[in-house]
Amino acid sequence: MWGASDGEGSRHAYYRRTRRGRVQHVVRERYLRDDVGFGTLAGRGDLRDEDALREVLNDEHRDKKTNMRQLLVLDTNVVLHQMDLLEVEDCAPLQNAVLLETVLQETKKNNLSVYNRLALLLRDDKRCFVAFANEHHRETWRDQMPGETPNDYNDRLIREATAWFKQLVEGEGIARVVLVTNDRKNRDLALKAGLHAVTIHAYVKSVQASHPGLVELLAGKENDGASDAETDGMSTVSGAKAARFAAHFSEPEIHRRLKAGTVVQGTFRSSPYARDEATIMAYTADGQAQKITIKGHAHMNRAVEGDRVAVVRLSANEALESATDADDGEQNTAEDEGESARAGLADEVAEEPGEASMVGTKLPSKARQASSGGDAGPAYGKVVGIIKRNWRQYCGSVDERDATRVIKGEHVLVVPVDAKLPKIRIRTRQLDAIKDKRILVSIDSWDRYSAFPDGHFVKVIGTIGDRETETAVLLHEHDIPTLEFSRKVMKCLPREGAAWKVTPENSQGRVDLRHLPVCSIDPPGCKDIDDALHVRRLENGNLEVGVHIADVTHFVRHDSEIDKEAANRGTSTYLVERRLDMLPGLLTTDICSLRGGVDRFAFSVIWEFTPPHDPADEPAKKKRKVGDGGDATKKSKSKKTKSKSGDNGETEDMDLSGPGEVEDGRGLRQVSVRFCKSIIHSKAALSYGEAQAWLDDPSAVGDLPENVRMLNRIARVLRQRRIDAGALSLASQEVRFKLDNDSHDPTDVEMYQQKEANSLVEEFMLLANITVAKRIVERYPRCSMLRRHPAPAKEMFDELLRAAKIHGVDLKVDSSKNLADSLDAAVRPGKPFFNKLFRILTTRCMMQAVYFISGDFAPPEYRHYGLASPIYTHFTSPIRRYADVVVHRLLAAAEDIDPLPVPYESKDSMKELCDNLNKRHHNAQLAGRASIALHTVVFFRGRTTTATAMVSRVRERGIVVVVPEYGIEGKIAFAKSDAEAKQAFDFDADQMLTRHKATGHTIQVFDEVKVKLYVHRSAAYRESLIVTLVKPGIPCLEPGNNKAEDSTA
Amino acid sequence: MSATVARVGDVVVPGSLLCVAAQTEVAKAEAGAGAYVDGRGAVLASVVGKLVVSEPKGEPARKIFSVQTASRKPKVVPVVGSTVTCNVTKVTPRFALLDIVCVGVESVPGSGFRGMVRKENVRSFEIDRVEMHNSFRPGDVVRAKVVSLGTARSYELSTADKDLGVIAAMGEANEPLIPISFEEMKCPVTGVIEKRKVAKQDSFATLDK
Amino acid sequence: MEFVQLSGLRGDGRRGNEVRKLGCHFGAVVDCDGSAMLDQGLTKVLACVHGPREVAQRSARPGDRRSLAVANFVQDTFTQVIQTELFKGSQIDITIHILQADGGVLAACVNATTAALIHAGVPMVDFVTCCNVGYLDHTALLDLNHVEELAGGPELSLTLLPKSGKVLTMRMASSSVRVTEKLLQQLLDEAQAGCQLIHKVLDSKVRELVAVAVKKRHGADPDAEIADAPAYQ
Repeated sequence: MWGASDGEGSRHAYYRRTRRGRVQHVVRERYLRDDVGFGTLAGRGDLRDEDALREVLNDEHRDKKTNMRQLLVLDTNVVLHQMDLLEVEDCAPLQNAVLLETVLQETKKNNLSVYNRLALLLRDDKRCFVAFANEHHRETWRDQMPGETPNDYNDRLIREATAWFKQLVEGEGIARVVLVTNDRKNRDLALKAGLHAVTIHAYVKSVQASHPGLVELLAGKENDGASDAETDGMSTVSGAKAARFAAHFSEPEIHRRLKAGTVVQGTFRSSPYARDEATIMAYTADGQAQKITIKGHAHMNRAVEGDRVAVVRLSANEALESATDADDGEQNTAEDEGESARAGLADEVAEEPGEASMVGTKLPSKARQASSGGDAGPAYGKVVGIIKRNWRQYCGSVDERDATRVIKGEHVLVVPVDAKLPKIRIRTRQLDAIKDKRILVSIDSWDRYSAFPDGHFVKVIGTIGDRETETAVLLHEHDIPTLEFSRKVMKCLPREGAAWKVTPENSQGRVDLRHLPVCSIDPPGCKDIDDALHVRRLENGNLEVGVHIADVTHFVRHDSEIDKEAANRGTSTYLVERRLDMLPGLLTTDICSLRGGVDRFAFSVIWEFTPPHDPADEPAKKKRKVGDGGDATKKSKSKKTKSKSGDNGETEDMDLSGPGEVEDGRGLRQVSVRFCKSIIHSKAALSYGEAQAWLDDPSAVGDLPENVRMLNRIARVLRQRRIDAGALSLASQEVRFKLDNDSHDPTDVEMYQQKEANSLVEEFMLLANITVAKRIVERYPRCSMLRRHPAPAKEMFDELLRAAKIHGVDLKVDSSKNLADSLDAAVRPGKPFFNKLFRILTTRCMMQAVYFISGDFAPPEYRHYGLASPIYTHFTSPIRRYADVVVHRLLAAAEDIDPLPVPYESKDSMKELCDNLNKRHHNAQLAGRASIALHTVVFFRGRTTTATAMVSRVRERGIVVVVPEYGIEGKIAFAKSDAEAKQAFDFDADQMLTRHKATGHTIQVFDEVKVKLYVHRSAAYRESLIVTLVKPGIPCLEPGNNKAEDSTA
Repeated sequence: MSATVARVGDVVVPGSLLCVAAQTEVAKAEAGAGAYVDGRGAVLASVVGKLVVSEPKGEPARKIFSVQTASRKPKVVPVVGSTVTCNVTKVTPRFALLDIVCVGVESVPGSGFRGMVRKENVRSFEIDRVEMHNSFRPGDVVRAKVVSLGTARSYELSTADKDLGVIAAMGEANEPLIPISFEEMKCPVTGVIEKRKVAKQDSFATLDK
Repeated sequence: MEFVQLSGLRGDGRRGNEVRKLGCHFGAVVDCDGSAMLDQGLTKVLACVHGPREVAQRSARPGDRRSLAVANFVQDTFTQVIQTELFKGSQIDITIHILQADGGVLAACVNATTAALIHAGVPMVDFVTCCNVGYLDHTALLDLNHVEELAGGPELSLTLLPKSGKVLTMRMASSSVRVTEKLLQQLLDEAQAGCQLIHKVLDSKVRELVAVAVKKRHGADPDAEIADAPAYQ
C-alpha cells in the first residue's frame, strides 16, 4: 500500500482555456511509482518483473535476423489509423505490444470509438497487449520542456519509454523492442537515439512472407503523419492535381462561425432518391428546425451519410449552379445514373415509411410544422466543415467494371451495399480473390483531390448472392450483434444447465399455481414460449383469468454480464430462416420457455372478471347498450381506485381507463387484479392450429378445449371493446416463405394467415400489457418504461386521402375510431385487395411506436394510437425483448417482490436504455424486412413470373405498384428525367393519372395491372427484383435496356 | 489496533496503551496527568509526550502513569472543588464578580474565567447579615472554592470557610492592607480599618496578641 | 470519464487503495495554543486551536452551508474524543482555514484538527483520522481528489479511532448512484483501511514533534530531565 511518505509526488501544472474563453491555471498531482513493473495486462494482473514478462509474451513470431521475439511499442498515429490491422486475430507478429499511457490518453482524446476498440484488445486474453503507465513511472516520466509543443512532448515521452523498455527487455534478451510509428520526425529522432523504429507499413512488409493478408488491412500511405491536417490549397501537391473540393474549415474556425451564426450544424443525410443530394436538419438559434438541402457533390464536399457537418446557407441560384457542374469529375456512366435512379426509386418505396416516421418521432411538433410547412421554399446550403465523422465499416463489393480493368496500380472502387454511401477506393493485390465477394471496408480519409474516399479492405464476408453472405451483410448493415455469447455471459446461466429444476429452495416466495389448467398457444414449432394462459370459474361465479409470462428476470439478474449483453442486444432479431437470440439458447428455448408438462417460473397477472353476457351469440358488431343494474356501483368503485393517482383526477381518470373497464353491457367487468411471481405447470403447449381446431369444433370436450373456448369468448369481448374504442386493424405485406429443409432456400411464398386463435392470445397479451403499464406508472410515475404510438400527422395522409377521393372512398383520419370505421367501409366488390391496399397504405402513414420513460411525457401523450389504449407497455415477451425485462423488474419492485435496480430510479439512465432499445428494435425490424426482401430475390432468381399488381402511387416519371400475392412493392420507371417524361406522358397530378401519349394507355392510382417480376444483377453486384409492366403495355425502363444504351454511347 | 504497551520513556500519543489493567502486577494502576483510565481499566495516554511512571511515597502498590508533555503549560481549568485565586471585579449588594487567575498553583489559560460569589456563599454563619460591601471590594485578591460550574458565564464560588476570603487588598489610600481579623483589615499608613471577609492568616495570632 | 485507467492506475498515478501524500507542520501559527498545517495531496488546510479557555461570546460560525457542514462534522467528531469532562465550563475554539481544495476537504479538516489539538496538548482519548472513499468505475477509490469527487459517485467520509477501530462519525453523499448495503459495507471497510493509512503517517509526524520539542526544551539529554520529573498529582 501507498504509505504517503514513500511516494514521490509532483505537481503537474498547465494552463487551459475555459469554455468562456478565460485562461485557467490547472494544477494536478502526479505520483511517480517504482512498482509499475512492465505494465498491466488488463484483467490479468501486473507484470512485476522480467520473468513475468517473459512468460506472457507470445512466442510464435520471431524476428528473422536476431531470432528474438518482438515487442512493439505503438505510436498514437498507428493506433488511430490502423485499428483494423491491430484487430486481426491470431496474427503472431501483432500479438505483443505495449500501449503507453501517453498513447492511450492521446487516442482517447482523438477518437473515443477507436479507444474503446483498443480497450477491448487490451482485455483480450489471447493477446499480450500491455498497458504501461509511462507517465507515472519514475524512470520514464519527463517534464515538458519550455517551448515544446504537446505533440513533440508526447513523442518524446514515447521515445523515453521505448528506450527504457529496450534497455531492460532487450538487455535481458527477452524480446526486441520496436517502436512502430508513422510519424517521420518521431521515427528519425528515435533512430538517432539508437532505438529500433519502423513504420507500420515497413513492419507489415517485413512479415509479408508469412502473413501476406496483412498488407490489405493497412490504411493510408506510409509517412502520412501530416495528412490529417487540411492544408488550404497551398500544399505542393496542388500544382500537379487540381483540388476537387473546397477545403474544410478547421475545428476552431467552425466553432467560431457556429457561435457567430454564420454556419449551422446538422447530421448529414444522403437522399435516398439521388446520390448527389442530401439534407440536414438544422436548428436555428431560436430553436426552429429547418431542413437544408445540399445539392451536388461539390457542395456535399466529402460528407458521408451520418456525419455531423457544418453547413453554410446558399441562395437557390448558387445552390443549383454548382449542382450542374459538379459532376464532371464523377465517373458516373449512364448505367450508373440509371441504376442509381432505379435504386433511388426502390429505396423510396422501401425506406419511406420508416424514414418518415423516424424523423417524425424525433422532432417536436413545432419543428415538424416548420419543416413540412415549407412556405419559404426549400433552403439550400453547402458543407464547409466536418464536425464529427460517423464512419463505420461498410459492406460492399468491387465494382464489376474494375474487376476487369484495374485502375492505377492496385486501386479498385468498392460499391457499398447502402446506396446512400459513396464508392470507396481501396488498394488490393488480391483482386481475383475478392471480385465476386462481399467485403467489409473502412474509410480512412477523403482528401480534396480525389472524387472518392480512400479506404482499406477489412475482410471478406462471403460470395455475392450467397444467401448466408447476404444475410451476414444485412445483419452488419443494421448493426445487429451476431457474436456468440461470451464465456462471461454463459457463466451467468444456472449451473445445472438443462437439468435445472424447480425446487423448494429456489422457489421461495413464489405462489404455487401448478394446479391451474395453464396452457400456451403459439405458432407451430415455437420454442421460446413467453406466455401461457389459464381461465377457471370461481365459486362466486366470476372468472379468473391468468396470463403467465416466463420469469426471465429470475435468471437474468440486474447488472450481471448476461443482463448487460441482453440490454445491448435489446431484442431478438427474426430473420426468415433464423433467429438471433437476445438471450442464450438454454434460457430462450428451455429454462425460461413455458413448455408443456414441466414446472416453470412465471410472472403472473391474474384478473377476476364477471362472466361475459351471452358472449357466444352476441354479434360482433353490437352497439353499446345501457348497463345493467349493477353498473352504477361498479363504476363508482372503479373510479375510486383510480383517482388515487393525482389531483387532476378527472382527466386522468378519463385517460387511464382502459378497454377492460368500459361498461358496455357485455359483462366481463374487472373485479380485481393481482400480480405474483409463481410456479406454473403448463398442461399443454398448443399450436395455433390445434387451438383453432378446438375453437372450430365444439364437439371437442375436456378441460382444455373448454378452457380455450372460454378464453376465446372473453377475447372476443375484449377485442370488440378495443375496436369500439377505435383500435386499428392494419395490414402489412407480411408473407411467409416455405424453406427448403436443407438449403433453407425459399421454395414457395404464402400470405400470412391470421387465425382466430392468434388473436385470442393477442387480446390477452394486450390486456396484460395495459394492466401492467397502469400498475407500474401508478407506483413509478417518473421512471416507468412505456410504449407510445403518437397519432400520425394529418399531412402524412394527404396523398392517400386524395387517392381515396378519386375512388370515392371517404377516409376520415381525425381519430383512430373514425379511421378504423372508414377503412372498414372501403371495400370494392370483386377487388379483394382493394381494402388491403388501403390498409397497407394507411400503415405507411403511421408513426413508429416507441418506448419512452413516463416522466418525459404528460399522461395524455402516453396514448397508443394504433391500439386505442391510453397507456401501453411491453410485458409479455421478456425472452425476446429487453423492454419486457425492464418492465418485469419495475413490476416486481412495484409489488415489493424485488428491490428496484438502482439505475432504474434515474430518468437519465432509463432514457439511455430506452434510446438503445428503440434503435435496436427499429434495426431488428428493418433487418427482418431486409431478410424478407433478400429471400424474395432468392425466390425469384431464375423464375420470371407475371402477377397481378395494384398501383399505389403515380408519379411523373413512373408508378409504384404493390403485388399482394408476394408482398412486394416495386417501382416501375418510365423515364429517366422529367423532361423525357413530359414528352412521352400526360401526367395529371390531381387525378393521379398518367397517359402514355404513344399508345394511349392510362394508368390511375389503385388500378389493377399485370406485371412481370424477375431478378437482375447490376454491375455493382447488387441483385434486385425488377418489376415491369405487362398490361397495359407501356414501355418501361429496364436495366437491360440501359446496358444497351451504355454500350452504344 | 496496536496492543503494544508503552514502556517508560517511550513517546506516546493519544490513545497509546500505557498499562493493561489485567496484566499489571501492581494492585492499582492510576492515571496521572495526560492519561486516563478507559472502561476496561486500562490506562491510556491522552496527550503526546513521554511516559512517566511514579509511585506515591510509601505506597508501593500504587503506580501512577502520566505523560510528561514536552511542550507548554498543563491545561488546567477550574473544576468543582478546586481552590482558585481570583480578582474581584465588581461588587453588588447581592453578589461579587471575580476573575479566576489561578487554579491551585497553576495559572489559568486564556484571559481568565469568570466566577461569582453570592451573598449566601460569603461565609457559613449569620448568612442573612452579610453585607457584600463589607466583604469584598473591587481589586481584592480572593481565595475561593468552586462549588459548582454555575452558568455558562461564570463559576459559582464560595468563601464560606475560614481559609477562604480576601488574601490581599488595597486600601482607600492605595496602600496594601494588613489583615487583622476575620472581618477587618487595616491600612498601615493611615490606620483606617476596612471591613473584609478575610482568609485565615498565620499573622492573625500575632496581631491579636 | 475514465477514473481507473487501463493500466490500473488512477488519473494521478495512485492505485485505488492508496491515499495521497500527507504532510503536516506544527506551530505554523504562534498566536494560539496549538496549530497544524496539513497537506493531503494538493488540499491544504490550516487548523488552530485556542483553549481550553473561558467561555467567551459564541464563536464565529461560517456563513455558508458547505463550511457549516464541515464545521458541524468536525465539532460532532471532536466532542466525542476530547476529554471534555476535564474542561467543564470552558471552551476550546478550533479555527480551520481551507487554503487549497483538491478534494477530501472534510477529511483534511479532521486530520488537521487532530494534529492541532495534539499540538495544543488538549487531552483526547485517541487519535482521530478521517478518510474519504468513493466508488467509480466499479472500484473503491480512497482519498478522492477534486476531479474524482466531481464525478458525483458515492462518497463516504469516515472518522475512525484507529487504535480502537471505533467509527466516530461519517458522512455519505451520492448524487448519481444508490448505494446498496453490500456496497456500503465495502466502502466502510475501505474507508477504515484508509484511516489506518493516514494514521500511520500522522502518528509518525506527531512523534517527530515530540522529539523536536523535547530537544528544544531540554537540550542534549532530555531523558535525564524526564526521569527526575515529579509525578503529577
